[in-house]
Amino acid sequence: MAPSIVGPALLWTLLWASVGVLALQLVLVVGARVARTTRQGRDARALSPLRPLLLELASGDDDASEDLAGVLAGAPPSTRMVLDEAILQLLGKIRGDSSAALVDVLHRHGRERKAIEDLASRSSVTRAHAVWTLGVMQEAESVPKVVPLLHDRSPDVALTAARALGMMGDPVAATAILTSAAPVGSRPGLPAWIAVEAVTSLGTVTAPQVRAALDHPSSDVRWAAAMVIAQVPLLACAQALRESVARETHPRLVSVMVLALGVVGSPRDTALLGSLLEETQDAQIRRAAIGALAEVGGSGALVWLQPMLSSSDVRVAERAATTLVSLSPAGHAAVAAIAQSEDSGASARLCRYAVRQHGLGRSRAVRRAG
Amino acid sequence: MDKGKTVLVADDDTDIRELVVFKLEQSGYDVVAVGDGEAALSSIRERPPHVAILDIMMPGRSGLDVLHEIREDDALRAVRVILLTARSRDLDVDAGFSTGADDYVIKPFSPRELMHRVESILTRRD
Repeated sequence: MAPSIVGPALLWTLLWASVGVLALQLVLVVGARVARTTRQGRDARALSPLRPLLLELASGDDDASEDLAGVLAGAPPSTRMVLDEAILQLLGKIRGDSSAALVDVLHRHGRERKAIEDLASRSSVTRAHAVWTLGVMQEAESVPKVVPLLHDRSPDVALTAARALGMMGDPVAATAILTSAAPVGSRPGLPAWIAVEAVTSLGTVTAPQVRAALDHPSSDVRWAAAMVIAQVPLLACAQALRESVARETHPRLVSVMVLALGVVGSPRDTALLGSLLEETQDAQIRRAAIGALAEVGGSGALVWLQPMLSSSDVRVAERAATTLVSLSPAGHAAVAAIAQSEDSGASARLCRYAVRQHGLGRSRAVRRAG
Repeated sequence: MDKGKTVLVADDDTDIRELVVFKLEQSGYDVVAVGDGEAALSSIRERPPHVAILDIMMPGRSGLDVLHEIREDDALRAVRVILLTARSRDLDVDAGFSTGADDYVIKPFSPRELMHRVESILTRRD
């Protein structure tokens, strides 16, 4: 008979303790839900007399907006907090004159002053809510106060600060947002795509800051700058981008810069992009160069792209085939000629695939138009 | 103003749904509002509206699914569709129009501009 390691009494105690912990967790979850539902119901009841006025103001009716803003601004203090939260929710969803009228109510309630105070809160939730409030209120004067939060110890606050700065619309913030993508010591920077999204929303006025960011020591910042150039797009950064493409060596960076050059470049970039198609180049760069050549070179890109159909790298050949079929009739004919040949090699198979896909796309479009 | 014309609004966001309904009713339209794609499709099939304003990201069937069903059904050919969505990438807009949308409005949106788009679509339709 095997010796008993743990006695039955201890096992029962552990079992009952586990059941007790589970029951306690259940009570806590249910209690939290009940509390939230009760709070939501109470808020909805408090807001209900003001809801029609809020909707009317948000709908952008010019004639009544001054009176409505006055009524909402004079809401009793007990409902002011609920009303302000409802306005903040709406502000993230609408734009135009109606959002300006809603911001006016928040100003009359001193909401931006409260948000600025909350930027220094010990709670990351309160700090994030404060930067979000200043963002949706488009408080451009608060930009210098929000910028330091791009390096907040809480990643959620830093992310919200970037988005808020993007909403505030002041191009001065662009440098701070882009450079916050750089790691500080062992701590990673802001995700570069968040920086791209925020700076892109600031528009073309950010060209000088974005151009300068192409020379930043951090590759994450340079990557973000190139993406912004492609997304906005920033034509004023084309020359700086050409110089960066010639200078950079990392495939990830070169390919995003090539992609951007395809957006803001011109036919004069054909030779530069063509030089990136050489077999010695990284496949990622070559694929990006194929797309960019088609964008800036137009039908003149054919002479560069046609030889890529027989590339030993199947991904490069595939990209060339799918690009050429939609580039021009001559491009389509070049791919179709290989597709119709007796050849059973990889290049011919890719060309057949590209022609078939292109045909399917066209027939779908014709069916829709019909 | 297009009094008597019916507009369906399908959006799972209560704020947006109530705001759009308010603005449409203020402009004299008959409005039907639903909060998901399945309800939108049944309502459209039961009583085809002149215009359907569809959010793309809804629980169950997406706005694009609903649009696809509308375009596949000859009985609903006359329904004009506006996609009202936070999806703002070129690819998303292309997907919306290629599925058969008549217009595409990106959130955050201007309620007044949305009304102009509805009026414009109805004018083209007439």
